[in-house]
Amino acid sequence: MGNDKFIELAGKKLSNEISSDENNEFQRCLANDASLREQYEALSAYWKHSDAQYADNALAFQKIKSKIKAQEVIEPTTAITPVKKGTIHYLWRAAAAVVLIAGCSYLFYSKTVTLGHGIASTTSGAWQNKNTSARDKSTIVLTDGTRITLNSQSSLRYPTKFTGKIREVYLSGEAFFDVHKDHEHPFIIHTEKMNIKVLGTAFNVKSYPDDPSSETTLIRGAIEVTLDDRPSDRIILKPSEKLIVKKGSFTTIRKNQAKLSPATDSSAGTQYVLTSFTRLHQADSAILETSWTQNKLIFRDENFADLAARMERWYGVEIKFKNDEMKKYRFTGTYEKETITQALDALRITENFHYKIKNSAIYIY
Amino acid sequence: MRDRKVDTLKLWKLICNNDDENAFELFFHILNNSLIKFCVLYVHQREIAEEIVSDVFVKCWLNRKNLIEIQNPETYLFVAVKNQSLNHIKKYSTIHLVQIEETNSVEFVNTYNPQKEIENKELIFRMDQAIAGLPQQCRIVFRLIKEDGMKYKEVAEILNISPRTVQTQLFRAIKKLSVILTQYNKHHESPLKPIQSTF
Repeated sequence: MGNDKFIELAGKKLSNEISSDENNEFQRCLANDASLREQYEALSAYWKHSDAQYADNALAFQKIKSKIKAQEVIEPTTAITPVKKGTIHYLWRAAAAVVLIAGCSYLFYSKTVTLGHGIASTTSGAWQNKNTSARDKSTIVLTDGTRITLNSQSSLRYPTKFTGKIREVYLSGEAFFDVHKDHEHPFIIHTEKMNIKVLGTAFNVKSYPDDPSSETTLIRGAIEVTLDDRPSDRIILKPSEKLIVKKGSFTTIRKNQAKLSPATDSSAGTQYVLTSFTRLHQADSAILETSWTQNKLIFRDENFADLAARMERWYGVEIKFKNDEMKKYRFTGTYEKETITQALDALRITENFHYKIKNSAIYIY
Repeated sequence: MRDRKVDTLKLWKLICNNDDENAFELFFHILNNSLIKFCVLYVHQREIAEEIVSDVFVKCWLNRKNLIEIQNPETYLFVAVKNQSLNHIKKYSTIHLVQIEETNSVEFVNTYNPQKEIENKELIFRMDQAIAGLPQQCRIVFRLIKEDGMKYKEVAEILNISPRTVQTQLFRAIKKLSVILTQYNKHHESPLKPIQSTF
C-alpha cells in the first residue's frame, strides 16, 4: 500500500469516518506490513492522548452567573446569530486585510497621538484637567463608568464625554484605573513614555516626570503597552505582572516573574523590565503597588532617594539630601497616620542620619 | 465523545424549555474546555478566549427562548465562538498576528505532566509541535476531530468549508505526523513503544 493510501485510510480510521470495505482493506494492509502497523499504532496512541484539561471551570461558571445577573436586568434579549453561509471566506480575507491596514494605521496613529495632534480626530468635545497637589488624592468617575483614583501631585486630562471610537486619557503622575469594560471602545492611557491600551481591567500606572522610571502594574484583566520610542514593540501584561520603564537607557531586559532572561535586542530604545508585583505577605492580597489607594505609604527595601520622592508627595514637603551617600540607605516600613517628624524619626532608628526642617523643606544630613 | 452530543441536546432542551439552571451548568462544563481551546486557535490569548467563550454562554442563556429550535447546540456554540473570535480579531487586529501561511514558529507546549513522563514524551512533544506548525485551518480541523471527536460534516459546518476540504486538511495533518514518526524511527533504532495498542 502506498503512503498516501495509508494516510488516507489511517485518517479515516482515526476520525471514525471509515467504511467497512475500507476498514477491511486497511486491516489487511496492516497485517501484511509491520512498519505500517507500527506507524499506525503510534499515530493511534497520539490520537488518544488528549491535551490537558483547563482547570478553572467552577470559577468561570461563577463569572458567567454574575454576568447573567447583571445583564438580565439591563437587556433581557440579545441575539447571537451565526454568520450566514458563504460569507466566511470573505471574512477570513477581510480579517487578514484588516490586520494589515490596522497595523499600518496604528503605527501612524500612535505617532501622531503622542505628538498631540490626534486628539481632535478621535474625540471631539471639551477636555478637562484634574490636578492633585501633594497630600491630595482624588477619585474621578468618567462618563463611561471608569473609576480613576489619582495619587498626589498627578494630573489627568480627560474628555467631558467620550464620543469617538476609542476612549483616551492623558496621565502624568500615578493613578489606579478600574476601566469599565467595553470591547467596542478600547481605552488608551497616554503617559510621557508609554501608551497603555486596556482590554477591560484594573491596574496601576506610575509615571512622574521627575522619577527615573515609569511603572505599570496589572491587577486583573489584560493590558497592552507600547513605548513612544519603540512603537513596534507591544508588551502584553498578564495579571500580576509589572512593567518598569527606565528613562534614557538603550538596552532591553525582559524579566518575568522574578526570573531573569535577557532578551537579545540590539535596537536602540527605552529599557524596560517586566516583573511581578510585590505581594506584602504571601497569604495577603494586599499589593504594594496599589497600597496608596488605601491611604498607606508602604515601602519594601526601597532606597532613601526613591522613598524621599514619595514622601515629598505624601506630606507635601521638599526633601533635600546634603550627603549623596545617604540616598543609598534602604528602608522597609508602612506609614498610615504618622506625621512627617514621626516618619523621619522612625527611619532614624535604623539608619544614622539627621534632619532639619526649614519651612516646607527638610534637609537630610 | 458521541455521548456528549446526546447529552448536550438533552441539556439544551432542559435549558430552553424549563429554564433549568443546573442543566445550564452541566452544559457549560461539558463544552467550556473545548470551546476555550478552539477559541485560542483564533485569538491566541487564553484570557481573551475565556472572555469570548463566557460571553457566548451568557448570551445563550439570556437568549434561550429563541434558541429552542437548534438541533445541534454543540455545533451552534462552536460557530458562535468562531464568529465572536473573528469579530474580536477584526476589532483588535492591532494586537494580533494572524498566521496565514505555514511557519516554523515554536509554540511553548507545557509538557510537564507526571503521566506524560512515562509515556513517550519526546515523541508526543514533537508531534504536538508538528501540529502547532500547521496552518491555522489545518490545525483547527485536526483539533476538532481529534479532541472533540467531531465528524467531517460537523467540522465543515462550523468552519463553513466542504467536508471534502475537512478531509484533505485532516490528511495533511496526519501526513505531517507520519513524517515525524518516520524520522523519529530512523533516529531511534529500537521500535517505538506506543502508549496503548488499539485494534
